[in-house]
Amino acid sequence: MPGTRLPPDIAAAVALGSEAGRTFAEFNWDDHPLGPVAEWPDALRTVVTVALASRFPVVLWLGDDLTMVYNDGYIPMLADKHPQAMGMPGLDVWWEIRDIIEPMLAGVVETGVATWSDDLLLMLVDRGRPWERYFTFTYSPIFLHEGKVGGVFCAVFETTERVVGERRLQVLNTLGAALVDAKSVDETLSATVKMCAEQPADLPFVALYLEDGTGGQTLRASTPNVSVLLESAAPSAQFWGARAVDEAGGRVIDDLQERLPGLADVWRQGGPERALVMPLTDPSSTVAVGTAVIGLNPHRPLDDQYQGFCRLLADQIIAGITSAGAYEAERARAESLAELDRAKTLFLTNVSHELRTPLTLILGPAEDALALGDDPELRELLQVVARNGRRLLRLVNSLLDFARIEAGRASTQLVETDVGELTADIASAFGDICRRAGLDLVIDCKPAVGQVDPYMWETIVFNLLSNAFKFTFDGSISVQVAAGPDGTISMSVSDTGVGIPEGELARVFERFYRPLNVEGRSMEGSGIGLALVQNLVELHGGSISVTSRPGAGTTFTVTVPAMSHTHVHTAHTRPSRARRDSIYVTEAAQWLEGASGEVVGDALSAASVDRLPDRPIVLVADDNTDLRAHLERIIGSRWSTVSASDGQQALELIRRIEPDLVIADVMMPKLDGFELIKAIRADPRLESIPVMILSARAGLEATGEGFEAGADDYILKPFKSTELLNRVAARLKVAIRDQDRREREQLEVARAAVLVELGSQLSAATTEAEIVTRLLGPALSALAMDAVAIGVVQEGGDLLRMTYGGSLAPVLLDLYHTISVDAPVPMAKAVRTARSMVVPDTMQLDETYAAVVSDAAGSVRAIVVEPLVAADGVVAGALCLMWAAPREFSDAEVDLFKEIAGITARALERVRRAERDRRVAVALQDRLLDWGAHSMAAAISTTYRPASDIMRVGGDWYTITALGDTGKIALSVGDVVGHGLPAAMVMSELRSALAVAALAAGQPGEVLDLLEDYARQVPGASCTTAAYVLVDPAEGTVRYACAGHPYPVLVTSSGDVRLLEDGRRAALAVGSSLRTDSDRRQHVTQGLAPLEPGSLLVLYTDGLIERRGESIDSGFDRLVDAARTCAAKPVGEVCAYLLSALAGHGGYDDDVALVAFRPCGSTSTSFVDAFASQVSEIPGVRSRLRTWLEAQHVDAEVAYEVLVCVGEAVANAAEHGNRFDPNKTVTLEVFLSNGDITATVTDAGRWDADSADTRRLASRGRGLTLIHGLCDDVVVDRNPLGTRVTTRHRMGSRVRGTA
Amino acid sequence: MKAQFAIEEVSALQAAAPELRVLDVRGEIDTTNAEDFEAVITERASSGVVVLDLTSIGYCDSAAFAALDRIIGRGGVAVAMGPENPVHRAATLMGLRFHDSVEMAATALGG
Repeated sequence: MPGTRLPPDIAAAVALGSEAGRTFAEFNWDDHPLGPVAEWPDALRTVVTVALASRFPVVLWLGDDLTMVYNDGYIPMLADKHPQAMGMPGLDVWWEIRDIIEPMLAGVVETGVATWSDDLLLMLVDRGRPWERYFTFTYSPIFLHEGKVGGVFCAVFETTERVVGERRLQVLNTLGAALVDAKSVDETLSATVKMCAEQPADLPFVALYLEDGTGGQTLRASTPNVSVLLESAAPSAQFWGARAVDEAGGRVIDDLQERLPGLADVWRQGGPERALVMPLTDPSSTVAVGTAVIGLNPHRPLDDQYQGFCRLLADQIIAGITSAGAYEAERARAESLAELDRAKTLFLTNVSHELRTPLTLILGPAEDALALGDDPELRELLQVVARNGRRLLRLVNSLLDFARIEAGRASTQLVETDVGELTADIASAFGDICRRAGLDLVIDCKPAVGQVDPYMWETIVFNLLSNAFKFTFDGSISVQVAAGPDGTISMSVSDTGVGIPEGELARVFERFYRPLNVEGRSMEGSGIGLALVQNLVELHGGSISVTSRPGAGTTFTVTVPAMSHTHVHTAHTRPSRARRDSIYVTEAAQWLEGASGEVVGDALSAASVDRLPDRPIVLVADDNTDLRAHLERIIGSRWSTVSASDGQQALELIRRIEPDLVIADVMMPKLDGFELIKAIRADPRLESIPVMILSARAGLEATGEGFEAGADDYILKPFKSTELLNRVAARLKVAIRDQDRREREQLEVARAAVLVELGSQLSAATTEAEIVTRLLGPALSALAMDAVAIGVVQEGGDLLRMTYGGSLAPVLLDLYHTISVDAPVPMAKAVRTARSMVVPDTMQLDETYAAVVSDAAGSVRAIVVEPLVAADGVVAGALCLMWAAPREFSDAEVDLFKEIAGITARALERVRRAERDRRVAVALQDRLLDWGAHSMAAAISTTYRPASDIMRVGGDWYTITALGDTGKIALSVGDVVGHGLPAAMVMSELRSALAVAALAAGQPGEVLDLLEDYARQVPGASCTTAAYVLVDPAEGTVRYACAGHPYPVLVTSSGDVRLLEDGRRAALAVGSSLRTDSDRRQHVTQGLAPLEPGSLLVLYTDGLIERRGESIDSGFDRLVDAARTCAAKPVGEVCAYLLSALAGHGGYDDDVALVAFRPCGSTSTSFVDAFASQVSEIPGVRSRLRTWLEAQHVDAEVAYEVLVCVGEAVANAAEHGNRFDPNKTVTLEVFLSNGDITATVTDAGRWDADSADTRRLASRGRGLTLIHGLCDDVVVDRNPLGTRVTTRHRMGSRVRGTA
Repeated sequence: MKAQFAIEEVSALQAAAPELRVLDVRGEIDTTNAEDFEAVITERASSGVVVLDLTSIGYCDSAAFAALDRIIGRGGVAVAMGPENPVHRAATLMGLRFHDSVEMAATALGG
């Protein structure tokens, strides 16, 4: 008995039961140089006692040969060296790091001075291989009583996870920063490999392959150490078998060095032996665009952390490539736009020159002819020619000016002049026309001598005035000139017109910019007036600005320097009176006449138009007076005409008269040609009226736009009179035939409208259930479907998960909540064959489908099934439209179904992508969070819900730990400050520390003490909050402590809510000083509360109750209110209910972790039981439940119904849900309230049974039929974590009283 | 653990129909023992016609009804259950072919 030879102090430490203690005790010390333990110096015995009793990793180096003694905490560092290391000379144990530690130990022994090492890298050998590990430790001397150093005490803490984690995070951050500036894909790739080359520890080498357009992937960049080798040996990703890489975790190449001879030579030793091949997948299209090959550090295990790091690296690279690609495309676009601009300018110059010659030859003879002729009719025609010729000349001149300026060939002829006087003179030309239009023209021009080019200045002023006049219908236009204080002259033109919307302001000086949706006197204009003005002002060395308020008016302000340094003509020009006839003024006058053209329309009442059978009515709408008169002349020769001067007026007339044909100009004030067509087509009375569009805008695009808008014909200006007559005649002749065509088109349009509406409806859907609901919504109401189902192929590809909507028998939803892809069910067939099925009567389906046809016969008799094909061509699922009665389907409907399926497939893809993102976030957390022990002592439900912004996932945790055989259960929730990977890493460390502390320490206060100590060692753990609750079901109590965490909530079975407010302490690791033991004792406070049977305990993180801009107290109030209604809710429903009841408008800003706990036991209103998921448990559960029901005097019939429902649900859970893991727990919660019994069976399985297995389906169908038939209400809630079946039984009069 | 049932042969109709046996079934039949039950009854019915009297049965679940369906399907067995038993409603729901009394069941078999 070796233990008997130990002195009592050490024996006591050994008796604590540690493994190291046992090893120590069993060691034969008698034959050891140190001799029997009892003879060791007191000091050595004391430290051995301390070490063995400590939970902190401690190793002792005793005596001259530094004999090793250690405790349990140290065993993980020794790995396979334990237990041989006990009693061995320590330096022989640690031969691989002897070079490092021997001098340190010798120093301590010789000098008695302690060492401290922080995060020291020690390459420890385990399983025959050195591993990169980091330790923080101290060597301190053990003094014997004579003052001699008799050994070394070493407290050590492994920091590998943190050091490596921080290093990797640093790599990711550095890469992120490096890629921000990358402007091309090449830059991205080279920045990536450059950065990776600086991180040889985690990235011994990196190679990046990208799609080369031929279907392959070519090596585009690699770290310099391997670039030569890879370019010759692995120029294509095919070398790595990259095509076979699955999306999630990448693939490990294990035979790297055999595969790549010569690779090992790159490193002198310790080169990578394995590589990870990761696909670079574009997240927006989920298409792999490349491959990253990452060499792996042979001294680090490829664990989740390493793999996750590589995944994040790949994600960052792909994000860099994607955004760099976008940048390149943007730059190319800008360049091509500039090129296009230059081409436009050149074109304008050429065209303008070419136009001026024939124009001159039109104007000259026309004016001559005017002078000669006396015939008034002829004079009128000639005046039209001359007026419009001059207008055209002005436009051409403007264009030419403009083009000259653009080409840099314009120069100013500056003349010293009084700009005020000049401006006033120019502006006064508009006096008369403003009076006629009822506008005040205010001219306020102070003398201001400066140098301007008078011709250009005139152009500037006229353009601004003409512009103001065009858009001002009442009020005033004012022109002001004043000399500025700083040697400038400013001229402004203000109006009280319609104004310019703010969004358009920035664009008014753009070439060819025309305001949209702005009412003006005319839509005429080239759109270059203001651009020209700006160029002219800039030629003067000045600037122009604009301010405007819609509905209030616009002010343009031109500022030019008074004196120029360039050559100045001294001549003082007098403004010429010819300006009165300026074409600008003439043009403006025409707009006025056009407006008064309303008289034409007003004069024509419906009654006044004679509808002669042989004389159809043609309505002409054009804002140009001349053109309108011209058209009336031509058309009037054969048909009756009515004319309108703008679109609005035209529409009113059309409604009143219903003409046989409409000829409309494209550009008209108030309502342009296209809008007019739209209005006509939208009016069922008018839609068949043919509309011909007149436009000067040539080109296929413009024509196309015209037809697209619904024009029947499109006539280009200029046109010949005969051509117009022919086309109008032809159009009128085929009007009847057209009507048929239009009716068909109408159907098409209606169909398109339906699809557009459906598309917009579905694009807002965020879940499959919403898609189904919207398919049944108003968009497709014409189809009168009774139900819709969507089946989505699950991962693995052999199962369809179904979502139903509409009226279907509830039992059908349960029977077919999943469908095997191989099942004899139409939707499965559609998925297998990618073909649709149209079934006017399900009874006509062949024998194969007999089962499903008869199951559904009650609610489904006609179906259409369409495969849902994703963008990549893969069948992602199937859509089933259902009708309760047989019906026929027209060809048009069959086409429509295909379109519906296409839209649904796109919506589904969006939904699934969003779901996947969310799932990734939750999966990350799930992996980190413990789902907890499936205790048989309580019903427990846990929820983790990521914040609305999924990137904020991270810091929340919960744990559930059954404490051995004591029956006690430890619950904790906590919240680490921050989000993302760093918080998740800290969370993971703290959570595991907490689980260990829960096992080691007894009381909540002590557990949080241990956690506090630990948190101080973990960077980033500061300010973490945590609540820890120890439940003792046998005693009926909870003991708890909270470190800065919101209060846990206790709800009794009668609905009293209590916040657990005792046991408070500060958040973890706050402040820097280490606390002393006496401090600590003060902190060991904890709360105690009774936990009656049937009570509910809720733990949560602050995300649940915090809302922006609200006090935390109102959050608690909301929680207490919500919790009050949870007394008779099963725990799973409690979690779901609290999450939905406490969500703010935009969901949750922060993550929420939630634990709901209800101990097993029964009261007069509740019965809670938990048991293993095995069929053999059923009789026992039934017996317990029966006893309880009888004690509550529940009527025998109701009792039987409850027992059967519960029994069937448990059988389902046991047979199907949990069949892969019989150790899972099933919980049963039954409540009696308001004369209702609700029974909830919760399991951790999914009932994902294979429906093709007809025998099992048949038996399960019976069970479901029983459940549905024997209760008043059944709710089945399935989610990835389990299934919850709740049945409600109304006792009503059947209850026998409660004697 | 399995649910428990007990079968007792009663002689109520011995005089009227000597070749017919009446088995009074009590206890519980569920998914854990339905196959046992089926085997026992099939064995008992192999040598003559049998009326199963479920009037005092304590519990039947869907597996029990499935077993009864198969037993009846093989012929020679009729089931009797009075409307006062809570199981009655479930049996009706499951479409079990049963009779309200042992006499009626016997008549059905005797035809």
